Amino acid sequence: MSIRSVLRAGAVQVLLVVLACPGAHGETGNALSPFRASLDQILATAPSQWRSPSQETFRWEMFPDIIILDTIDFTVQDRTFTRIAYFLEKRGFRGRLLRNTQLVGRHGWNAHDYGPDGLASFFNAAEDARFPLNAEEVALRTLAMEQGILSWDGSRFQPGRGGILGLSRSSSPIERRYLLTHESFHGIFFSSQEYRDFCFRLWDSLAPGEKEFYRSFLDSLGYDSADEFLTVNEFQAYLMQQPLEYAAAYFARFTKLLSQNSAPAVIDPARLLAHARSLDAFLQNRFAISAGGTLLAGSGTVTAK
Amino acid sequence: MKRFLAGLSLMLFMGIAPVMAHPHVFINDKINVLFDGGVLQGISFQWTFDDMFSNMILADYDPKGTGQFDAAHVKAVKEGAFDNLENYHYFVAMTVGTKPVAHFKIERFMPSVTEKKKLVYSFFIPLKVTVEQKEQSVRLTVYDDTYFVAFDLLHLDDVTVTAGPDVACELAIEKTKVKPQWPGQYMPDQLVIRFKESS
Repeated sequence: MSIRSVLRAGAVQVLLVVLACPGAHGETGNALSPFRASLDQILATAPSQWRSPSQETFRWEMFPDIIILDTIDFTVQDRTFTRIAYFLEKRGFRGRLLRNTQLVGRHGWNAHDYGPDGLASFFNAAEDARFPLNAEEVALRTLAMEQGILSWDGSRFQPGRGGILGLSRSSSPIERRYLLTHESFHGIFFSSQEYRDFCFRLWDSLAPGEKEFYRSFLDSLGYDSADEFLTVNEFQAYLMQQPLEYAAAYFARFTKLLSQNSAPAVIDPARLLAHARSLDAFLQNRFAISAGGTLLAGSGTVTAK
Repeated sequence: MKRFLAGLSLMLFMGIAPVMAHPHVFINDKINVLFDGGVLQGISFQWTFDDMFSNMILADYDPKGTGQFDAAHVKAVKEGAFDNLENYHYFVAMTVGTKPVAHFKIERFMPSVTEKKKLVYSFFIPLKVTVEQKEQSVRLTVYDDTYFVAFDLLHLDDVTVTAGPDVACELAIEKTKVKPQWPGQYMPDQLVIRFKESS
């Protein structure tokens, strides 16, 4: 299938979605039908190969309900994701739809990950307020609906399945490797009910002091560790973002620095490694993915949807 | 029931997963302050990277594990894994007196590998500040405002001074005045270099 025909097919889908969705106010955005690719192919696909000068949309071939939006720079990424980040994540701003003038000078994050519930919550709030969204946000909503991450039930956006990860070319190639590795484990968490269940079982099995360590670690980074879903999602991502042999050293070095700000909780490094090994063993057995190894996993040809 | 509740919680909150800035790379920083001919010539830095980053870069630029970098390899590492730091001011916030140094010129960049296979970047930032009778100061904080990289605590043991008898130089570690950009971001202390002509 040619890119041109993919675009034509995508345009028809977009039109159908918009006609079925009163909340869209006739705006379609310009969502591109995702290219199926491995993570290393996404990193290696130069902007000169993109269909749009500002962004390209990929579908992670190992987890096809995970869509990855690679943007040309932080400006495009911010126009797409920053309002959502503040609405869903930023302490002190959660639940607020910031106007563009209020977002001036606020860079969201260097990379993003959002699942169906967060996106539904944001777009419903925008719909309720008849809030003027950026074209990039409208395109994101269209993309999410096309891909089954969101649906429209006639009155509300409903969460579907999968998720969206965001990455930018403003980050250096080395940063992009680190960032996409970390985000990809959120992608697996969003995509696989089995893996989520396993993560929750492992979390439930931790001793209170061990949970306290991870909560303290996440709190120190600004996460709201009272949110258990968030905590378990980050717990697994931080343990899996690097090969096993580096996990204990990462936490040890980080908590040593954090001890300058406050006295951090501590954990037996052997227990931390055991937690990482459990997650790694599950991912190896179920998906042939090892800790820190998502970029190496699956490397078929980039194909159109 | 516990599993049911966990599943319910998961359904209710699925997808709200914040991405906070957090360091992925750790650097141990050594500094040398160089005076020569009555001039603060500049400051050299020696950054030793963590094992994971070291392995990643060395896999790309020294795949045979020689630990040696000829001119072509130095150029490749510099272009591929150092020059981009210009966009981040080479992680150095510096003031001479009260004047911030807006642009740095980097000299003598050299990668190397320790016995423990850790990657080391060495480079020099020229300053050319003439030493005067009155006391002058340079303050520098080495940190990454995107919080992708975290620098170890800076101790006086990490700093050396190369100077002749014509210069009196004192070092101090003080709380930095640079404000953190991210929740919970650890900020290294600043190095304060006070110097004047020897009496």
